[in-house]
Amino acid sequence: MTAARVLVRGVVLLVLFLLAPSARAYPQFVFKGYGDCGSCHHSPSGGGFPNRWGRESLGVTFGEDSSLGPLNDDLDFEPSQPLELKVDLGADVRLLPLFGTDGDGSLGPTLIPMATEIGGAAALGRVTLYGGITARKLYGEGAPYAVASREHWLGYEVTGGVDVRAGRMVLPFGIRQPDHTQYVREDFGFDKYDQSYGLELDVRRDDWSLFANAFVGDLTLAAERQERGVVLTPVLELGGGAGVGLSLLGSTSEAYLRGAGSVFGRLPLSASTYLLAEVALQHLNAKDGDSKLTTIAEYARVGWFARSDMDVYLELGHRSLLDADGLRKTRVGLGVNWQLWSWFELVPQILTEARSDLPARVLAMAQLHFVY
Amino acid sequence: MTKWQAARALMFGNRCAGSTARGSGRLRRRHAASSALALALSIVGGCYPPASERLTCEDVDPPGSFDYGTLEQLVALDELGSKGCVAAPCHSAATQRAGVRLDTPGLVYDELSSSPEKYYELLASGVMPHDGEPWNDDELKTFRSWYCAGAFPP
Repeated sequence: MTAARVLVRGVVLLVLFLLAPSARAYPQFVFKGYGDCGSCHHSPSGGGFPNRWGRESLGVTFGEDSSLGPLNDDLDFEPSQPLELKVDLGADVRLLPLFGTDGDGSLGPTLIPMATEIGGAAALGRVTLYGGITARKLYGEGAPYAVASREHWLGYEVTGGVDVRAGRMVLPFGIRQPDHTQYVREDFGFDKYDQSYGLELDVRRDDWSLFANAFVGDLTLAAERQERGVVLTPVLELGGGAGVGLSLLGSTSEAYLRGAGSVFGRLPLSASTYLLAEVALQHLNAKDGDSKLTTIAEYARVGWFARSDMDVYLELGHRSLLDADGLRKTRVGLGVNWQLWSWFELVPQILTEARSDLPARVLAMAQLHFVY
Repeated sequence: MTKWQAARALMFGNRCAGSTARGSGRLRRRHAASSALALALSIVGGCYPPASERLTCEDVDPPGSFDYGTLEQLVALDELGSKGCVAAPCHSAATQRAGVRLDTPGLVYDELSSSPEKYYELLASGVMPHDGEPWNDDELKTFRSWYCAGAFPP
C-alpha cells in the first residue's frame, strides 16, 4: 500500500470517527474551567482539584460513577449532618513530550514533567480545609526537587453560594486557564508557583458572581517583592452560557506599584462550539526612580466539541511589553482536549510561537494528564 | 538511618532543616516532633534552595546605583567571553538548549524577568554557565539589585 493510500484511509477513518454519534456535551463542558468554575472544583473561584461533582460530570461520557473511588466524598454541607467529616482526595500528574524547531535550531525531543500534585479537601460542617503538595523543580546543585504546597486554605461556607477563604491561593483574575499556558497567566503574576496568601470572598449567584481577594503576597519571596493589594472580579451571566467579566487588581510592594485589569467573555457560537476571549493590561511603576513597564496581553479560543469527550480548539495569544522596545510574543495553537478515560486526558497540540522579529518556533506536543 | 530519615534525605537532600538524632527515647521523640514540624513548615512554605542560591534582597545596591546592562553583557557575551550563555553549544540561535535563546537583548530580558528565581539559582550555584566561569559575588549582587528594584527593563 502506498503512503498516499495510507494517508487517505487515515483521513477517512478520522472523519468517520469524529462524525460518529456521541452523547451531547453538557454546557459545563463548554465552559470547563471558566465562568462558574466552583461547581466542579473545591475552590469556589476554580482551579485545583475537582470536587465530586466535577468527577461525576465525567459520567456523562464514561457512565455513572466511572470516575469515583475511595475518599471521593461529596463535601457539600448537609444540615441534617452538621458535624460529619467528609474527605475528597485527588492526584494530578502531567507530562509533556514535545519536539520543536524554529528553523535556526531545535528543541527536543524531550519529556517534561509539568506537574505532580497530590492533595484534596476535608470538610466538617461548613468548614473546608484544602491543600496540595507538589514536587517543585530546583535548578541548583543537589536534589532536583523539593516539596512545596501551591495552595492551602481554610474555607467557610457562610450560606449557599457565599464562601470566605483564608490561606494561599491563586488570585481570582481573568480567565482561569491552567497556570502558565497563556500569556495573561504567566506574564501577569499567575504562573505555576505564583500564589498569594490572602482573604477571599466568593459570591456565586445564577446571574452574577463576585470574587474579591485582599492579599499579602507570596510570603516565600523576598520581602521587597511581596505585593499587598486587592483584586476584584465580578462576572455577569448573560444567559445561554454567555458571560462577561472584569478583573481589577491594585497592589504595592517595596519596589513598585502595580495596576492590572482584564476584560473577558465567553460565548456559545452553536450547540457544540464556543468562543472565549480576554484582553488584559498591566502597569508597573517603580517607587524609586522613573522605571515603568506596561504589558498588554490578549487571548482567544474557539472550540468545537466534536464528541462529548473531545474538544477541538484553536487558541490565539499575544503579549507585548510596551516599555521594553515593544518586546512581543504571539502564539497560535491547534489542539485537542481528549478525555480518553475518566482518569486520563490526552492533549495533542501543534503550537507556533513568534517572538519579536525572530523566526517562529513550531512545537509538536502531547500533554498527558493523569487525574484522580 | 531510619526509613523516615532516608526518605527525608532523598526528598530534601541537605536543604531542609533537621539532623540525625541519637540517644534516648525522649530525644528521639523530640526529634520526631521537630522533624514533623520542619516537614510541615517546609511543605507549607515550600522547601527553598540553599541560602547561597536563593534570590533574596539582602546585600543589594539601591535602585539607580546598578547597571542592568552589566547583566545583559554577561549573559550575551559570545564565545570571546568566559561567562556567556550563547557560545556554542548553549543558548545561541542554533543550539537553544532547553528551549532557551539568549542571543538578543530582548530575549535576555524576557527570560531573566519571567523566571528570575530560576536563573539566579542556576547562576549562583554555578550550574550555569555550563561551559564558562561562574558569576562572582559582585555580578550576583547586580542581579539581586535589579530584581529587588522591580526587574524593570533598561
